[in-house]
Amino acid sequence: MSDTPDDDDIFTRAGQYVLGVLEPDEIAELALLVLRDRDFAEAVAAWEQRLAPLSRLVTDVAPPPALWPRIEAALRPRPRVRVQAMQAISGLQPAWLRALLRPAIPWAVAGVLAAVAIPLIVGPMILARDGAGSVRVAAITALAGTLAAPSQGGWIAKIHRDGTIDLASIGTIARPSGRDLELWALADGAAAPVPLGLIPATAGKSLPAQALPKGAFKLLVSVEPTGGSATGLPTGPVVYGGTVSTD
Amino acid sequence: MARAESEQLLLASAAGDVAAFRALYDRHGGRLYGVALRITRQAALAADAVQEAFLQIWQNAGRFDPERGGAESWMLAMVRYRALDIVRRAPRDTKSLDGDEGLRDEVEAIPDPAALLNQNADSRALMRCLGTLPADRRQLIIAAFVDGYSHSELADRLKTPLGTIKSWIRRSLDGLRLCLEG
Repeated sequence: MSDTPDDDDIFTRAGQYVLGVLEPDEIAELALLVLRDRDFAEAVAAWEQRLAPLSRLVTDVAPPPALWPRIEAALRPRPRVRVQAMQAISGLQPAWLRALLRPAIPWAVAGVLAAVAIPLIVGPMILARDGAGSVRVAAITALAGTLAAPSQGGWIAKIHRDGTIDLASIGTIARPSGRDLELWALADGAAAPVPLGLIPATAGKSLPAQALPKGAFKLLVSVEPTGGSATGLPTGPVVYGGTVSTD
Repeated sequence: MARAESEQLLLASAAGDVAAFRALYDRHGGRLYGVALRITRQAALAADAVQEAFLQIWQNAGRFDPERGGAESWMLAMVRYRALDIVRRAPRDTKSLDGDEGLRDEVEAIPDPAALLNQNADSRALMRCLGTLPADRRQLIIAAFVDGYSHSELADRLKTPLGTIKSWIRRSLDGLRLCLEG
């Protein structure tokens, strides 16, 4: 008899995870699997449902009165991804922007350009309009060789302090028919990106998003089935990308 | 129906309604805090677990899927994962409850599965299926869930080899699943 995970089917493994009998390294591994594997996530949800009545064996205890104020104070508005038309920029299409959005530019170079050029050029313009504190700005450009047809398009992403992202599309976005484009954040050093939401085809839409990584991270755009990835991870090719540097 | 109301509150929370979120807390806070206290054995740690879980619930309310289960089961799981994470990081210390006999009684009471008989259909089904397990295996599953003991903690407490504990838990889970799905 062995205790390796391979010996247990996903139902048993999910049961052990929900019951709470596993050690930290096993828990960490399975917590990631919940995000990656839809079947496992469903097996976990089923066990959460099955075992929940056992909580009725524990006597209710009124939480300390100070607890709700603590929770409420920590609530922040959920960050959102907004797609905005930026006529001024898309109309101008200055030479530097065209160069930046050209698909042949390697990602690393685009990242450096985004880190250096965009805050200098676009930043003051956006800041002037918002009159707000610091926002981070990144260019999301087509990744070389990933799209059937070269794309001159991309987005300028403006990342606000509260995690809200404004996306301004520029040029023509290659959007495979019958598919959605999904936005992801990949923290430096992270094993997996977190989903931020589908990119609406039309400007002016707003999407709830997840808390963003704290330091530098990459913004990635993948091609997904309609409605987005069901697994919590990109399932289609990552076709656009950009780097968000630290403040 | 109470369950549907909680789901509505959760959906409203997903849209940013703090009052709905507060109502959700008022409705379920007692059970969730009780569960966290039972696992962590310390009021401060239980409060931390509930706070972390509620922030997670607020952030992820939009991902709650009523097709997969009820709002309370979903929130309960969040609280238990946070509480388990806390006790796996720092060994439990029951001494801190010495000054508070009421709390100590709560966390040391031995659960009686018969209490499930008075509850809803899901609870009665679970009770029936727990009844198909040998008595010691039934207590093992209940202790694991309610007190949050790991395989190795159970092996230590019961002075039973780790492999035996794992095997008992595995077979009990398989038995429960077959019974509940059958």
